[in-house]
Amino acid sequence: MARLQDSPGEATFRARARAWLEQHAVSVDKHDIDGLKAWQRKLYEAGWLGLTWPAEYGGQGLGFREQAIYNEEAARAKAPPSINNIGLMIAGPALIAIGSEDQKRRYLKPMLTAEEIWCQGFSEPNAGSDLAALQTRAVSDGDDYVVTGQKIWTSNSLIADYIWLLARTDPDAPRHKGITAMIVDMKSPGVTVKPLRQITGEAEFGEVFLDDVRVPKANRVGAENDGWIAGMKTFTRERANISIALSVRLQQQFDRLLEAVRNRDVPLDPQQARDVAQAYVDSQCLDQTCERLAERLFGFESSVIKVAWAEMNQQLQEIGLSTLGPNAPLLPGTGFPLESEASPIREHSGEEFGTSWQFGYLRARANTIEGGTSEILRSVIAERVLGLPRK
Amino acid sequence: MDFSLSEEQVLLRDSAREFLDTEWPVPELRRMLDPADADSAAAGLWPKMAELGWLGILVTEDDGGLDLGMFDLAVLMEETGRSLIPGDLHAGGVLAATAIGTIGTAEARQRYLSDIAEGLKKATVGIYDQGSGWTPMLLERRSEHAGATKRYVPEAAGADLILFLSRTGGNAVELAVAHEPAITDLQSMDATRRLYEVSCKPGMIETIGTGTLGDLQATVDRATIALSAEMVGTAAQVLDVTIEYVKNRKQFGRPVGSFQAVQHRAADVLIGIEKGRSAAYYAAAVADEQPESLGRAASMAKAAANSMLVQAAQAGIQLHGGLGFTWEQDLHLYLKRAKACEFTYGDTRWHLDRIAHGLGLS
Repeated sequence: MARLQDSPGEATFRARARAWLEQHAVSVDKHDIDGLKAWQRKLYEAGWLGLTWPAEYGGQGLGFREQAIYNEEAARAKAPPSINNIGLMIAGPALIAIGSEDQKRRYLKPMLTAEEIWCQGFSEPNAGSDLAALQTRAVSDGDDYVVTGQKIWTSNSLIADYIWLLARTDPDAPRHKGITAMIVDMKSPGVTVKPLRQITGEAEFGEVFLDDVRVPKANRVGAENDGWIAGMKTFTRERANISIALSVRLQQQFDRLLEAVRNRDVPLDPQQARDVAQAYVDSQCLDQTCERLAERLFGFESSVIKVAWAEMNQQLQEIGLSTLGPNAPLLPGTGFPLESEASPIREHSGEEFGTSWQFGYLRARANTIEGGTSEILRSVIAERVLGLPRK
Repeated sequence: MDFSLSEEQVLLRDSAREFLDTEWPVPELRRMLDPADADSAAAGLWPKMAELGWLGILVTEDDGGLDLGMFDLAVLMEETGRSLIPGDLHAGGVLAATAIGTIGTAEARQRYLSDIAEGLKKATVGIYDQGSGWTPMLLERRSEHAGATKRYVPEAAGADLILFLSRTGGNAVELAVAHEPAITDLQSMDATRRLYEVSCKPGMIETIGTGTLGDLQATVDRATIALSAEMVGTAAQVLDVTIEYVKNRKQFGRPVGSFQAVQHRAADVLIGIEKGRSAAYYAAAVADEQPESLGRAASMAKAAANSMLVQAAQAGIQLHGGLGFTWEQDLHLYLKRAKACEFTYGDTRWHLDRIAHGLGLS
């Protein structure tokens, strides 16, 4: 039955989340790794992490609605970003779905507490949208695999303890059928990470080089050569989780835009005001669609949300930037971060730049690429949701 | 928020779908294209819809209606939109029933609503005039004893009861019965939804209720939400028809639906429909539960519906190629409906300006 209000149970949960966040939310710089880890640990201890995960692995055994409500309240309280989002949103749910009992007991809890940070090793220089073309090799050698290859666009690889990796175990099988999923310790001999500088000047992601890395077979997730299914499950999860979390972030961005235009000395011209109103309509529609399709978001419908969100955020950032008029191209604060040998690039990015429309505009260009390009996702929608024939 | 349908709503949707597939299939719909046959086609569907209680969906049980909410109405409208039914259900069951329910006196409600709900009286409402656009403040003021002319009045020619919703001065409005009106067909592009100009001489306008411009706009907002839900259904139908076509039509030895340019356009249509459906459902729920937010929700629903339906209808023609441009195919019916709806109760600019104003941006 349709309703706008929370159910009594949801309202209680929301009130509890709001009260806790109001009391405990702190401001942590997005580059303060230790601070972000401490924040996540605090969340875990208070029972706000792994809301949809089974209780036996440290989760709360709740549903999608509670997760969505928590996200809304965390956004409202301007709580710090999640440091281990790849673990919480991608590797964790995938392990819960297909990991062994031992793996679940070993890895899930430290993932929740941020004691162990995760990254995801899927994309390669020659396997982006065409993921099944991946070439990283895992050769069986006794109780180990020996892994050699290169991963790229790996978010959090600079700080990660583990990588959730896809590698080719059977080069002679049809390309979807020779891939295996495994957990690799980033401290293993032969693993090298290099930061990849983005157009924002930051390095959120890196390149991961694997050179004869020994990975115990006990770290394989699922059956050998069954990794494609594991990878696809991960991806649908990724899109669903991103949808839910990002829809909330979009509302925050819109509120920021509203505040910015209300604080202007010069009123918006009618067309600018209309652009902002259109962004309001689109962001609200997206939020409502997330709610409406909640039960289907783990299916291909999540692609609908991802495409709409990515374009919406780009549009919003463009509008935000345009409100600055002739100041739009000027870099605020310290400007582009400087690279140095002594410390990772990310630490140099100024806070003022990191929260600016200029940064937001540049960063948003990745939205239609990361987590599945909009081109690939439109094909997914056409073929998997609308049932159009593949070529 | 929870937008899942109740068992009753699922039943309403499925039975409406089945009924319309049987009683208003495309050959019946196409009778609307023949001016000599249109009245009889529409008149054939009318008593059957009345029998199902659709005309009284918003009317209270005391007045002989089903006493359902706007969300139920939205569920039904999505299906009627799929079938491009004529405008008399909207004019009577939605617009007139809401106007009387909102602005009519107790006596007027008693006198007219049960007849409307039971389908004994076909009703419609004229609101806008030549210079008003969609802005109630710009409506001509009707002074007592004066006549009036309303434009864009839906389905006036077949109506037994024509109401005028007019501004009488300042913030005041009246709802009135127009007696012995002169009716001119305005020749809408959309042959399935006819629009008229209705003029009434001095002394022939009988006031049956008074209210404010806010009441007038609230009436229009509710009708707007119902129309937005219909537009979602229309777009979903165009997409279904188009998907079926591009799956089967072959060029270069393969279905055209396997070409990426075709696939991506279809995907964009679906994205628009999903967003538009959410906005329409949300607005309907707001009308039921948070009437204080009605205006903004209605404007969001209509702004979203306008762009997605026009996009869907245009894509429908494009993806059918040359056939899509022919009179024989049905695609033009959807496009004409899309454009007619787009400019009913406010175009996109009008609604965006209203939202911008509400957000304090202008």
